[in-house]
Amino acid sequence: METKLTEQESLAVINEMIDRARNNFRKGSGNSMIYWGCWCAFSALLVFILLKTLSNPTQAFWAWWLMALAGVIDFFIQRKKKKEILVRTQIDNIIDSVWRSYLFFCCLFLGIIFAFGIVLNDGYIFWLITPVILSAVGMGEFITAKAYRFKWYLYGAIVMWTGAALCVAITLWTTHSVFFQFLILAACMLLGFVLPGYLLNKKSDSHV
Amino acid sequence: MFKELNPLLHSQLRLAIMSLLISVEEADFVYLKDETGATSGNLSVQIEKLSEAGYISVTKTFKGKMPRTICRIAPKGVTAFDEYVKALQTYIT
Repeated sequence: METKLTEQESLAVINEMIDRARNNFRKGSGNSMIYWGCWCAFSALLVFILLKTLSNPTQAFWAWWLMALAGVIDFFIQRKKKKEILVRTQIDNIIDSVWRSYLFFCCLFLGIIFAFGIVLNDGYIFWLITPVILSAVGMGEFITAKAYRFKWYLYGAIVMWTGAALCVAITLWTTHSVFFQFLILAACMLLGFVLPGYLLNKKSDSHV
Repeated sequence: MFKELNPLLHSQLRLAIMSLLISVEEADFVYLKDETGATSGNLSVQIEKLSEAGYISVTKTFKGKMPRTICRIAPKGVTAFDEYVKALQTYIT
């Protein structure tokens, strides 16, 4: 037998269901953040170690190709996950677009920096990479924080922007040494990506 | 002046289904069952009714050997939901 409703009850059902759909954090929602945060932190630390240990330090930057490997692996993981997703919202699509555009920005920005660096034969231009990348990540995380109303992403964005400012300050202060940028990048990834991702997973576990 | 409430939507479970689907792009049967707290049988019946009315579209696929049912609200369903909410407002205001 169907349950008939009063008008107030109808409105209550509508509000409750819309609220549930809006606040739905699925199990494992933070896994992407943890994945990318760990890969980036590891790559940054590896570059830092190689810069200090290799006889030809410029070879250290090949370690960044680990991020491309991470991208390829993630592509296959996401393709498999897509088949298992129980619900997809319009906000999910928008946030996907934000991070895809960030990826495009990274590729374009790095291409521009390398082109200018090689043409102008100017090594200093490469110092811009880490602070600009961190600033852009912060922007993406800020938008994600607002869309999902998850405050830890907002704190993550602040960590990224603080890291960007620190990169510039320390690089200029330590008489133009760029080494510390990689330590700052690794720290930002752990505090600003991995930690919020872990906390989001904890929150989504309580929802399930 | 009170407007007549759509009898197809003026039912707790069907209204809950439509309210969820209006908020998302698509939803799996399991998700709808978890959020509405309905039994599988009852949920299937109500989804069928909404689908027959053209309010939602239902896609059946497989995840490995497990069947999957994915629901999306249809344009006709969006219009009907919108009209239902407006009709509700004539009773409440």
